Amino acid sequence: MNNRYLYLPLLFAAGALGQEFHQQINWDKLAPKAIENVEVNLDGNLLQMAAKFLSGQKPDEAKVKKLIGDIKGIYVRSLTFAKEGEYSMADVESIRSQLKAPAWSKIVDVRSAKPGGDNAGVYMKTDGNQILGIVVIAAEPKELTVVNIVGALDPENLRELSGKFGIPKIELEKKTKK
Amino acid sequence: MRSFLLLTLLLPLAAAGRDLSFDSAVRQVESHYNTRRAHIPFLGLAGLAVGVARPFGVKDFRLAVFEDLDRARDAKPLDLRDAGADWRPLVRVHSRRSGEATYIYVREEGQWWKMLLVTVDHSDATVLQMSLKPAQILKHVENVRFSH
Repeated sequence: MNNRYLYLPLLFAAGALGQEFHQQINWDKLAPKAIENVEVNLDGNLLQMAAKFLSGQKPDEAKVKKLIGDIKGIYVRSLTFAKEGEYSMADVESIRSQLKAPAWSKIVDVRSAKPGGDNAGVYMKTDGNQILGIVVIAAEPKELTVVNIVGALDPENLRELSGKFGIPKIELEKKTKK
Repeated sequence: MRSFLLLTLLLPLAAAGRDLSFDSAVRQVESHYNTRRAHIPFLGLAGLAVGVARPFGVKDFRLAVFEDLDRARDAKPLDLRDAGADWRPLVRVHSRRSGEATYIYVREEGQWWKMLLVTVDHSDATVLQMSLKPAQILKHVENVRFSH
């Protein structure tokens, strides 16, 4: 056997490691069960090209320009199901399990003790003091949403991004007080 | 002489090249929903007006409307990447509950990007292709809201 074929699995593994989080999730099992399927893919090229053309002088454009400044991608996937129980906590766990230390740290984790309760988690990828990405997983009884924001983020901008670019408003603070 | 003939044949193709992607998307919708595009009178005139006035930052547009869709074929969401025209999915919303779907695809073309918007509503569909600056495209996406 030619030696180069021995390297192929290693190269594929390296490629997989280089993938962003949203690319590692296999939605093929869950998506066909959903009655509503929302997918938003804002890649770095579009965001950076858009930022170039936004004015730093006009207040509304300056705000968006600041928001997307160092973001390399915003990826949202949200599935809505007709009834409860169409996806399981094992499905959510298989997504969560890919967010492992040391690259990822959990900053918010809300898990309802009640069956069919809401579950939410916010995970952060860091390198030293720099944030490299955020993943939000919101698992409601009939809805599963995963948001992946890639890039060096200013934490102040995170709140601003909520409700924009297809990112649903996720009221984590309210839920953690419960 | 042969190269002259080739050039004569290729020049019209090159001129029409910018629209091949739209035609490909139209064919994809026709095939997916087993339908044909409807004729829209004075559409060419509207295209000329948009080219001059550039409303909302739109440089040019092409529009196709489809009626009497075969929704039985809609179990699988439409995927324009199958058309092989370098369209990247930006937003895809598919609802089996309401029977509505919205697909926004983009294609980089220098400073002006092409945005392809496909909306499906019960028995009708619309394909709209526009040339926009990336910032304009982002404004469309900034307001994407979840229906629930």
